[in-house]
Amino acid sequence: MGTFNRRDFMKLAAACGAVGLADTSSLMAQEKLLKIIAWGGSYGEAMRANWMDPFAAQSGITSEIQLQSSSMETLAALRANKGRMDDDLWLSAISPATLAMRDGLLEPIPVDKLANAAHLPENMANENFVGVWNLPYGIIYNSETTPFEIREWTDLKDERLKGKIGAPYGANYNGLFIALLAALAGGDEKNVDPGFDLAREMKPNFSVFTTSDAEQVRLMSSGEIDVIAFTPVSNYFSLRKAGPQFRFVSPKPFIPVSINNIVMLKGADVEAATRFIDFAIGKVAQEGIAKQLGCLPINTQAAVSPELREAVPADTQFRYMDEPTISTQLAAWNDRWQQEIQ
Amino acid sequence: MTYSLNLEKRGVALRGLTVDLQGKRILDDVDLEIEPGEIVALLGPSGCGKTTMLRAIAGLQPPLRGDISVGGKIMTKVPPYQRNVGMVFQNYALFPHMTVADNVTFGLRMKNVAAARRDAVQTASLAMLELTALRDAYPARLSGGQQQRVAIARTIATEPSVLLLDEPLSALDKKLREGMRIELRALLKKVGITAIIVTHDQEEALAIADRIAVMDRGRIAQIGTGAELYHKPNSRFVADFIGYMNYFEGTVGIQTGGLLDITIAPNLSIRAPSAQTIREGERVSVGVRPEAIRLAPQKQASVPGINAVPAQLVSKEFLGVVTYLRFEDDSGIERMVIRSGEDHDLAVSDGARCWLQWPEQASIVIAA
Amino acid sequence: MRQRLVPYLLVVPSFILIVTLLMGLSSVLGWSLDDGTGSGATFAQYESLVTNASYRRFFTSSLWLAGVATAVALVLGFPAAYYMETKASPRQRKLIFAALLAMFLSDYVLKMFGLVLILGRTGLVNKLLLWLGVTDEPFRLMFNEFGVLVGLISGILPYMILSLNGVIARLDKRLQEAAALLGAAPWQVFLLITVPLCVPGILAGTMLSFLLSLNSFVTPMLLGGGRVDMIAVFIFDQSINLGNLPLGSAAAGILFLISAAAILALTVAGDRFHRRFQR
Ligand SMILES: Nc1ncnc2c1ncn2[C@@H]1O[C@H](COP(=O)(O)OP(=O)(O)OP(=O)(O)O)[C@@H](O)[C@H]1O
Ligand SMILES: [Mg+2]
Repeated sequence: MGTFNRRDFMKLAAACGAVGLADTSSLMAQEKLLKIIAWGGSYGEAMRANWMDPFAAQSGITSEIQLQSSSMETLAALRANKGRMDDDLWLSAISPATLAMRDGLLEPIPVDKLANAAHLPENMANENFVGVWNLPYGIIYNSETTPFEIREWTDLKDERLKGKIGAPYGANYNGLFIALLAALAGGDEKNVDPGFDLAREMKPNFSVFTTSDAEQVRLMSSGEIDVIAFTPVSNYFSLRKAGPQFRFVSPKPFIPVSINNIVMLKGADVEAATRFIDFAIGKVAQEGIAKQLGCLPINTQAAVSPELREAVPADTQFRYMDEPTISTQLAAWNDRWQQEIQ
Repeated sequence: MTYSLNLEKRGVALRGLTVDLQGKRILDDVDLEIEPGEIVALLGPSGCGKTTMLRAIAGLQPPLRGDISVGGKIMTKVPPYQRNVGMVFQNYALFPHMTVADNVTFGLRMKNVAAARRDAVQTASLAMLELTALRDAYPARLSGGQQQRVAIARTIATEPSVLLLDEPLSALDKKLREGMRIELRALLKKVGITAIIVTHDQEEALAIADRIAVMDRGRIAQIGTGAELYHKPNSRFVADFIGYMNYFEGTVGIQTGGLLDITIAPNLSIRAPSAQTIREGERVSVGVRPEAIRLAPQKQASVPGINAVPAQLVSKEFLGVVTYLRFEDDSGIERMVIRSGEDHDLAVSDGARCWLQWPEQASIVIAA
Repeated sequence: MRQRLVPYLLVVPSFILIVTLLMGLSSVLGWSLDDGTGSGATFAQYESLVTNASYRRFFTSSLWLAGVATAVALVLGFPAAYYMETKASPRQRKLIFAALLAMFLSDYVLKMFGLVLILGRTGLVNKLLLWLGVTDEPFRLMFNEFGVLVGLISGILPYMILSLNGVIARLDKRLQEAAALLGAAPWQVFLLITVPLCVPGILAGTMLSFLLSLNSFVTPMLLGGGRVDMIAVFIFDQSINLGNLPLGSAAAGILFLISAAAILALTVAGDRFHRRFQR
């Protein structure tokens, strides 16, 4: 997600236009330059500082970021170009990665060559993707304008919050909010009806539906809304700069975490890309990037930063959503959310 | 005609009408009285304020001072759409998005005239102005003459108490114009409407109007019938505006029995009638129309009632019906003589010296 | 020789632009017919857009909003353009013109952000209303159709005014005077003479405003708060957020058809009207 500016349109236009420019990858092959499609902003900065620069120092392999504003956007571009792009690695959420794999846009990752894979949770390193960090989601509220302390997800139903809440647009955040509501209401990823019932109870409180992190932060800091119903903890670190009144809650009974991962694109420099992935999931790199981004490291040996501990206490219950299942229903959920809730 | 216009002839009176435009005086204290059913022409050079006067009467141009009354009712504050004053604009101002028929009935529709009456008026006025065949045409397809007729039909259909026409013939070519001015007068008289027609063509004014008001820089210089203006202009401006005038400057001598004796050169004097007394020694101009002058080879010694001045023929200009003869008198001033047809005066040859003679009564004393 | 080439060279950039646009358009068309296998073609996407009520709503709502915005812009823009051309002093005229130009030169997104600052819960209007004591709860002026309409209207108003003031400047004042002298009251003069003679400008302004509103993306994005359905947002959401390029492309195709139909209808209407009285 990101802002929607002219540049995005140009990219979209270029992608759709399928202007078959000459393939330049053969010229670049000798130089060992890894091209990584990733988010910019704080993500890009953190990747450069903790992964790319130290990796280059260690291995001599340089790398650069090709900006994306959302991984779904990249999926659209990859599809439009039918894999003709010359990038090696792609930072993605699980849903788009799953869809890309289905479309044959990915290169299998040689997991046996990843020494650090042993320290990752089960199934976080496979030939389709390797997890790179865990992003916990919760609620942010403005303690000066919210009439009570929010502790649970169901507090979002409280009528004192009428017209004060910003909620995700459609199935934004890869459908995690809808899946969460379903889980809270006794359903699951395959049965979301209870989730929609719960959302309908919250509906009078939703005043705006946001399409990006940046929009959430902007609406909160400008006082347009008082509560963000569902937001990655990283937004909290941005908002805290705007004032101490903004609080992050890891609501009861559990919070969803979304795993961002790295995948290898068709035609990648497999050897160099594999070394890069292994470096990225190492203990040091993980501690560094998790601290800078305010997310949970994926490497079980890496320590959690104190800042994050404050927002996401140690006793927080996590729920890993079934993102591959979600990804197949995303479009339907999106339509339904727009029709019934928005 | 299947219907008759219910025109109530109304007179128009302007009193002290004064109009300023952007700080400039355009009409200056104008008084004008027009009889019901009379046709008055406003004649004057470009920019003298003719259009402005019509616009003021129509209510399109609020005056600075003065009053406008129609049929004895003061109209100065009445908005244009309630004045019942019709105006035919200089470029006709036909509505380009309406057919001829719709243009003609526009005013009736605005006045909520019943449809039956509207149709009758439409049919009759189209017929009267020979526009029936063009009833469904749009104005852009019409010739200048046709447009003019539509403009008149459109205006008359509303039965205005006064009709204002701003140079209605100027868009037509010369030949058509000459035919139209007679038709226009006939039409106006047939309808019997009070009309003010603006023109800067003196012949047009003479042909159409009952009376002519000659305008000069925002004022009415003189008003009268064509003959009055022609034969008794009250100023050089008026005299020059209508026809050509020969001027003789001189000093007033004795005055006997309504005749002034005026010395125009040493040993040369002429006589002219004068209504008012003018003191001896004062300088005056005497105007003589070119067609009043006859030619004589010698001075016929003191024929009573005839003035005579010597001059030399410079050129002859044959124009068909008339011939212009240009003379130069002893002080080098040009004198114009106009003779018509096979006049024997025309036998005079270039360079010949002869006497210009005219009846004393044809001399017009004009304040210098 | 070199001089002969100049005209051709001058055409090159626009030619490239047009070709690129056509390529983009044709690939959108291609995507909209994609059946997922990469070989066959299908109208399934179009079918689902037409049959699915929640998809159709994006189109009907866009058409409705664009129509209302255009109508309001016409009603607001006409007096403004009329004042500018007939009543304003040359100085005022220059000032208005400069203001309009500034509205053109400033970035559209920035303008919409400006509106957010005005219409927001803590924005100018609400601050004023709260201060005046008109209300103790801020009004919701955006994140609804009202906010989007305000955004659309302020976006198209300069186009509307500039389309209108050309025809108004060319109006022959004597036609209005002639109508008045034939007994037409001011409102009749306006409806029967002024408006019909401005039809070319009204059509041009309406067409421009309607298409700009119909295709609007930034405005519903920033001022709609996800509660106002507009096609451009749908296209973006489907193709980018949900990776459903075929559906997004089909929606873009329909939007293109609607726009083309609107252009055609207004052009034909304009031609008809014109042919009547212009040689
Ligand atoms: N709107 C105006 N503002 C300022 N001056 C004007 C305006 N309209 C006319 N005038 C001036 O008023 C004077 C009289 O104009 P008017 O149109 O009445 O003349 P006219 O006698 O009809 O001339 P023409 O024979 O050329 O039609 C002219 O000097 C003209 O420049
Ligand atoms: Mg005039």
